[in-house]
Amino acid sequence: MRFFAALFVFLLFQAPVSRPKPIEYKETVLPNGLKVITHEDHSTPVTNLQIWFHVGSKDEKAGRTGFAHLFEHLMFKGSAHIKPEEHDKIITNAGGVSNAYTQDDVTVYWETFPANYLEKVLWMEADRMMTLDVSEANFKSERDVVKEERLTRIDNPPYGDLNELLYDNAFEVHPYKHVTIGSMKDLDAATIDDVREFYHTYYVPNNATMVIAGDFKTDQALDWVKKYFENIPKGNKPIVRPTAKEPPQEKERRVVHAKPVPLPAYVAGYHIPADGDPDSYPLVIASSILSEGRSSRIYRSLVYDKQLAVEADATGNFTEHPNLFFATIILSQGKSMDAAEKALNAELARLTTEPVTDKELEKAKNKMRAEYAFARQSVQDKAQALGHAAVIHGDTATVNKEYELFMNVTKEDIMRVAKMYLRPENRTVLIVRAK
Amino acid sequence: MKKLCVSAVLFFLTWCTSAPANKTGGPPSPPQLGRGDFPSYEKKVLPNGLTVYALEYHEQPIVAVRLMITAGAERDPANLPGVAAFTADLLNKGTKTRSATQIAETIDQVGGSLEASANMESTNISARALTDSVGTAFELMNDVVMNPAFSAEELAREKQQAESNLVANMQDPSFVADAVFERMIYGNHPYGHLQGGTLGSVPKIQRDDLVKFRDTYYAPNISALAIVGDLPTSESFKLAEQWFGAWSKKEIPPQSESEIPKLDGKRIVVVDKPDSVQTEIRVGHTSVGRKDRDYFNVLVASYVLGGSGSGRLYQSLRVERGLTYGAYASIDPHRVLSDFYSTTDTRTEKTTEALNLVLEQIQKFRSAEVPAEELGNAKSYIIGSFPLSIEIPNDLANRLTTVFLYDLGDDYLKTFRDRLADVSAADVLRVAKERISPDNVGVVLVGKAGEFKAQLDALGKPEIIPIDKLDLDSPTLRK
Repeated sequence: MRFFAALFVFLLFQAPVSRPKPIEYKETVLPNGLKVITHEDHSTPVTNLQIWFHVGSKDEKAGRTGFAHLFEHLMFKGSAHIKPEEHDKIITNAGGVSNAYTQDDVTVYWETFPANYLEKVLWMEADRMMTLDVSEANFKSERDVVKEERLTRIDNPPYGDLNELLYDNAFEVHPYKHVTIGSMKDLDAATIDDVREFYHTYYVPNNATMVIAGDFKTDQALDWVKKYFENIPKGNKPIVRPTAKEPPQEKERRVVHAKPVPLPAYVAGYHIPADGDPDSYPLVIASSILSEGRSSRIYRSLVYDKQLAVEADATGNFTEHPNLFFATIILSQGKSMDAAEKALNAELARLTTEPVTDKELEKAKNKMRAEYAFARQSVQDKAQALGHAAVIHGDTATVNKEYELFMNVTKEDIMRVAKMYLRPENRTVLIVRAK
Repeated sequence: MKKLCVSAVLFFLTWCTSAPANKTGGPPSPPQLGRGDFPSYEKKVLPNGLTVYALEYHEQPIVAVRLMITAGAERDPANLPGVAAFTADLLNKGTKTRSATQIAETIDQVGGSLEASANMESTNISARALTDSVGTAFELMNDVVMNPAFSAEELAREKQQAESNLVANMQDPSFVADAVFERMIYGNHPYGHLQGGTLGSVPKIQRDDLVKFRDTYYAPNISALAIVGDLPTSESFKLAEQWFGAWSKKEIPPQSESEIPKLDGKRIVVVDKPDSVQTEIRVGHTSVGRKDRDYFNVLVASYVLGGSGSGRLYQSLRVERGLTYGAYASIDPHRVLSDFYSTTDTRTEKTTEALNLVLEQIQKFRSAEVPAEELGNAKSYIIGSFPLSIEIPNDLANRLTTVFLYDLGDDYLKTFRDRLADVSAADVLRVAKERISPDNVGVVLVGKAGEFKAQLDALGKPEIIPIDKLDLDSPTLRK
């Protein structure tokens, strides 16, 4: 008690409340539909460039799971003026970093590089957006690499396949049912003709958003973008977005899986609305109160007080379409899974029966305030935030506007969304027992 | 509709035969760039010997603070790995006046963080906070360093967590491969031990071990405090003096240097994990320490061999053969010696092929000078990547405390790129011959041994250890 009084006095003498600075940006759309977002930051002579293609594993056709990600690998296999693997070499030889990732909704290619390389990187990106050229031999060897990636990430690590199992059971009709890496069978079935069709459908300027953040002058950067990208033709194939709507879940689903894991695990997935839905903001704040930091409710109960779990967590996976809120436990050695599950569910239920305290709500908002400052420091972080707002929300302005939405979340909002989504009937439970 | 199909077909055709020209022609040449120097900072040594770095950063209203005490797991008592790590882990789990919960509540409440951990050569206490709560961060940091309680209850809790984590990690092929590799190349030297302790040592660690470690080594005269953030330099120095000025100097006992074995020939250890679908592979040995005059030569060598996707290992194993998702070589430096190792993983049936390719690439690397272009690319990567590594306060604080740890000198961050630029092909070939070997190496394979052990005999007799018989505390690695 004495301490909190001291803290209060201390705060009175402090500087005004620190508010994270917004990200300033300019948005331009070329006649061929390419959206370009620029943000100048001259603090270090470094620039990050990202191209977001609005295609991910949810857009894959039947029998071709894993294809969006396989295709991502092929974008490093050469174009008219760039030899296979040369893209990465040019970037790394300059001291930069280059990579790409595929998710359910998007495939993102990015480079962080010394600022003087911007024009060259734009030239390189234009080359592969326009003239990708993959040989049959390179296609096959890269497919082997992707199969190795599946072994490394999913099949070999003790808990690698948890997500795959959970999603397969939690979703019935929506393509989130399959995870991005896809199945070995579908990877084997993919052909070079699929590559061509996919490229000409989705890798077109009107399905792409470019973000450039860093040490450049906007006018100069936009001149270069026009020079290299303006002549890339608009796509002429229709882009069909998945429309399957997951039916509401009426009843809890439970799956028990036995495999040689060192410690048993519990994962529950609750259906939640999409990223940017008004209910997503209180769910994020609820997740912070439940499991962010050592003073959070689930950490305190399961890990610290009862010592039932090595790890316990509750967090939402917010994506373009409705996805899942995860509650997970990795059990401590020799503890009871029933006890851990009860303790976890008690914390979720408590959110529906009593309001969170003022202090907890303030803490979660302070954490969010810090997050907006700490997670938006590097040019890559900033470009990432801009790309996400532009592509997933379809509104770049949300990059700064969401801050207020988080700050305005009330105790009533949290109780309402907890009641609506964190219900037992709305979840799929996967229990992994040690074999 | 028809028209669309025709144009699509034509476009395919163009695309398959000769891709349409990128009308702008060849690649633009990047103009010259400024050097991207480390931002200016001030350094001050307090009367108690604490070195303080202050660096102003005003992009966001945040402050990163890092206190490095240059004593870590290498100071663990003999045969009791984990003491430095537990000492650090317990710091924010209670002081004389605050419980673990109060510490967590206080720092979480202002949206900050306060973490402490030990690695091989140092103990690091890091805080970050919005500028409006930097005082809270310093007050807590001071309390956990000066007045840790090391309560028996908290220690028991940490031990239970650590044991559960170890049980899990000892089934994780990648973790096991790394741990076995370190034990093979460093023997019983602390560098070879798991920093967080082993299943054998953790149960033996007592409160007194932690109190003794803290009382012996936590001292301002072997420590550095880096404050990077949205604060005037004068304010940073004032905070350093206010919260760490009264910390008393101590006499630090000299480092006991235990012996490190020399690998003579290939030692191959196979950890048999019958449910594996992939094999984790590690190949390597010890090499030069961080302050050795050959350090930069070996660093460049490791980069050429496997520092990135342009490296020889990645090109050979992933790009040419599709054997793996990644294949890299690196040097992980310590004060006295480093690990120089290659790492990859591959599907079980390709284990021997992948291992042979790694050894072949190392052999090839020692037999001829690196071509000028390849060497130039490696150096330009290491030099060019520097500005990328100094963008954010946490990285800046890290750079400053690393200079302090290895006593690299106040001009190091300004001059090291020139020293790297001087590395020649002859230097790299010399260190490749003297310091890198495909013959006197430790080889670790973690996977389904039955599928590939017979093929290993051409390389040497493997020691095969079932994963449930593996014991990191035993010299034979066996229970």
